[in-house]
Amino acid sequence: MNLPKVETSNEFFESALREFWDAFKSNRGALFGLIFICFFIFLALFGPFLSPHDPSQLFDNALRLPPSFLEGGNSNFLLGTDDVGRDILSRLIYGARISMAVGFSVVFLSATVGTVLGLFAGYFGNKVDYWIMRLVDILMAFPSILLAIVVVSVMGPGLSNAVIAVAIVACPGFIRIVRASVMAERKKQYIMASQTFGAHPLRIMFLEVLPNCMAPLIVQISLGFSDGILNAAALGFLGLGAQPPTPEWGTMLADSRAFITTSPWMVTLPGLCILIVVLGFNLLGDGLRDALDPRLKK
Amino acid sequence: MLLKVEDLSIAFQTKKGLLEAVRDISFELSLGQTLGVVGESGCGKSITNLALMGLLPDTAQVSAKNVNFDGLNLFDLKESQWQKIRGKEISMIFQDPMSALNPSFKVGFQIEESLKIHEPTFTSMERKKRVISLLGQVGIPAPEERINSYAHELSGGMSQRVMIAMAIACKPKLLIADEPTTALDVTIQKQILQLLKDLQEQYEMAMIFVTHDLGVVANIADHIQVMYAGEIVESGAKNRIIHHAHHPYTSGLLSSLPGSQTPFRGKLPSIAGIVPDLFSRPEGCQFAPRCDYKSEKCQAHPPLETREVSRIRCFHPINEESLK
Repeated sequence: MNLPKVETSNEFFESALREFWDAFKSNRGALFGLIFICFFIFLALFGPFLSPHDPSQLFDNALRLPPSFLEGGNSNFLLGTDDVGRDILSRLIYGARISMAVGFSVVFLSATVGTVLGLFAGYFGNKVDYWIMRLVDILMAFPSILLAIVVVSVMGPGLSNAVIAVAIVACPGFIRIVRASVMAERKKQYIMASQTFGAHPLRIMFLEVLPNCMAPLIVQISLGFSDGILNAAALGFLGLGAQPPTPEWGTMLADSRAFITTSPWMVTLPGLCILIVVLGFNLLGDGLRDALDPRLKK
Repeated sequence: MLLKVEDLSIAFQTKKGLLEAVRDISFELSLGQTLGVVGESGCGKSITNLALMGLLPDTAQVSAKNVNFDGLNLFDLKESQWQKIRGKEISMIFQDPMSALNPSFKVGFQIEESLKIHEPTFTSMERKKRVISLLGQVGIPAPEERINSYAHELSGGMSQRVMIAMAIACKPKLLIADEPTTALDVTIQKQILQLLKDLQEQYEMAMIFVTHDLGVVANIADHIQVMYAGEIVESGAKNRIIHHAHHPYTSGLLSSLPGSQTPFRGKLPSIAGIVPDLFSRPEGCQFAPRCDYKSEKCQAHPPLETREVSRIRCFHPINEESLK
């Protein structure tokens, strides 16, 4: 018998990946976002090799030097120095490590907790759903930075506490998104089918439903990175996050605020870094959403 | 006797009041037999099946004198015991095969999953062999390649074959088929019916076959049970029901089939009226408002009487002479 050629799953996977990539790369913004992020990830990974100086080394003879391309700059300090003579470029590079680590841990924590709670709420419905959603409503009733401040002031300032605080703030978004897509999947017959094959509810939730809810989750994860980084920087700026002399971008902003008129580069550069990274993640998230959502396909 | 259901009733407490979806259903089924359940949409066919799988929503109020499956009282089971029975002893196939498969996984993996749960002694090589042989048995060409397909790469008929392979993977004693051919076109429908028949013979399964297509049920069932508004109105051996329907509803259903009785291009006969709203059931006979034979007597609720070999719930059975 002559059978038609069956597309093997590997080919299928490759073709799906290619389709996704085609949709993704047609979105210029998303591509730029990806490039920005790759650049900062590169900085974060190879920080110690790339930075010209130790980020906390004080150069007594070079206080508040402007970047080297400006008048009075020193080519030894490419982006200038701060008020106590530390090299800003090195601090920014080390700051990228911190911000990436913060973004990753915030997303990891909030996505894990949020996904589990969202799965339970969407799958079981009724009382479970009610209580989880009321918790979410309460969390969402607070302005996010205020809630983070409350959490940090209870637990004490510091980078790891700031991460936990920001993660708590980010949870409701994940819970809602996962819950909504679980509720949509829950009605489909394959859930009933796997029940009739004797699958345990936990097995159905994590192995059957969750893989079908990945598209919105991936988008939320990439947006969660930017929110996490932004909120952690804000806490740093308020003095509740990373403590000086940690080269965290938000903390750097706060430290240099007094010199905004005399040495504007000290404020501008860390601010620019936050802007670019957050923008990059947002652009990437938008691009992922467009590429993963079949309804938005052209 | 593999399955014995006595006086099963299922009701739902809703905001609009109590909804009696199924009232006092009794039936029996032995290994190797097929019970065809026929009825309109919403007459309680699917809900009965879910009850037999222990998958009714929590809001359901179930009562039964006795529901015995292979010596087990089904309604005494704990959830963990149910999970051992589902897929192993009783399994089910569905109306829409395309949505009954998980779109995220390869079909081979999905069939393997139920083997993993219910046959823990199998090695992964044995499982894979079994999956391939199952796919071959249900008539899927090139099963070695097909195990790596995803649901959307298969046609409806192929998906239903995969579902059937999943359902028979652990050699269940009872297969519940909930309108398995409704979503398929007629030629595929015929193949699937033949496949189910062959598999039933091979595995000596009992089968409950739910459909609203009398043509299909005549093809596959040994016994037919006609349901109306959550009640059994007539049940008996296939030939008896098809050739000597006694209940006006059954006879109405039969004459609504396009066939030799209707002239070419003539209007198909249909049963006037609609199924009663289950929130406001008519008193007495549920079918009376639509019945051509109704009388004063039908104000009372007719019992399900055993007449010779069939059971009928009617005060005015037609073809009465053949009952005597």
